[in-house]
Amino acid sequence: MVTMPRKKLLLVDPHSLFRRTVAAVARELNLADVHEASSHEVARQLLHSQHFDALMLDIGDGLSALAIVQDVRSSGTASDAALSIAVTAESCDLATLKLFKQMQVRRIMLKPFKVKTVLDVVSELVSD
Amino acid sequence: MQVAPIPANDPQRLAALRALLILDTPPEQRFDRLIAFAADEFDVPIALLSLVDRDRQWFKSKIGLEACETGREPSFCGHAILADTTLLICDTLLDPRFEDNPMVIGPPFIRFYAGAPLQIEPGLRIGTLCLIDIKPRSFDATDLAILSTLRDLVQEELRCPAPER
Repeated sequence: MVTMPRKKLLLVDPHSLFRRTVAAVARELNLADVHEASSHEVARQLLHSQHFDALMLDIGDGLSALAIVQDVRSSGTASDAALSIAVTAESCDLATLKLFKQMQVRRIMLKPFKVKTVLDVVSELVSD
Repeated sequence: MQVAPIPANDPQRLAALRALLILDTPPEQRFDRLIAFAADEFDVPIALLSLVDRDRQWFKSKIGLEACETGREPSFCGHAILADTTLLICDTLLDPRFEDNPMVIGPPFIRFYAGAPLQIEPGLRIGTLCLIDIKPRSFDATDLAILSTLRDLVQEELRCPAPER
């Protein structure tokens, strides 16, 4: 039997316990190969050096998350410009929401949320 | 009530537990944050890092329970350490081992229990990361995977010496 390689998702979030739990459970359930980045800076480095099939990005403060998504959409990373993207946020105003929507972000998730909910979104992001 | 059986390797198991020098030590944030995360993730009123000593289970970290220890004989975790896999009791009143357990028919009125055994060395299970609810629940494969992962993180912490100790 031929086993398909798992799709690669980059999870960008400052909370290590959350990241490690999502990554380990996604691996155990064979949902995705989740790579972790604790900051936008690390995420940028990984996106430029490796191909990913999906991205889940905590928007944090400021506009650096927006710049990362713009970078992806303008083929400025090693991934496809049409990469499946979800963003997560502690809060999000309507103007920011609109900007992300314009860049074809598939999901915007407001914290707090359950690991189980995130796993559903991971599954959705890598299902294409 | 079925009393928690004593595994054949209990002397070795107890030696491994005591070698950790963790029994009766103060709470530690590295464990408390894992237990809080588990309670929050599963929306349970009680979550515990329980260590099964010779005659008692002692809680290194706890949410939703006042007691710092209970007897081993009526403990659910005493049963959970008998196998590698998570002990899952979706409704205690439907399980003859626990239906008349004093913690089921009395406080804290346990109706649901999920305990992932903490294995510090092959075959030596010293306690559990467990979730308790006062109402019956279902628990699917994803829930089991999440609980197992959190258990693995607790095990990693147990294997590391505490920085302040």
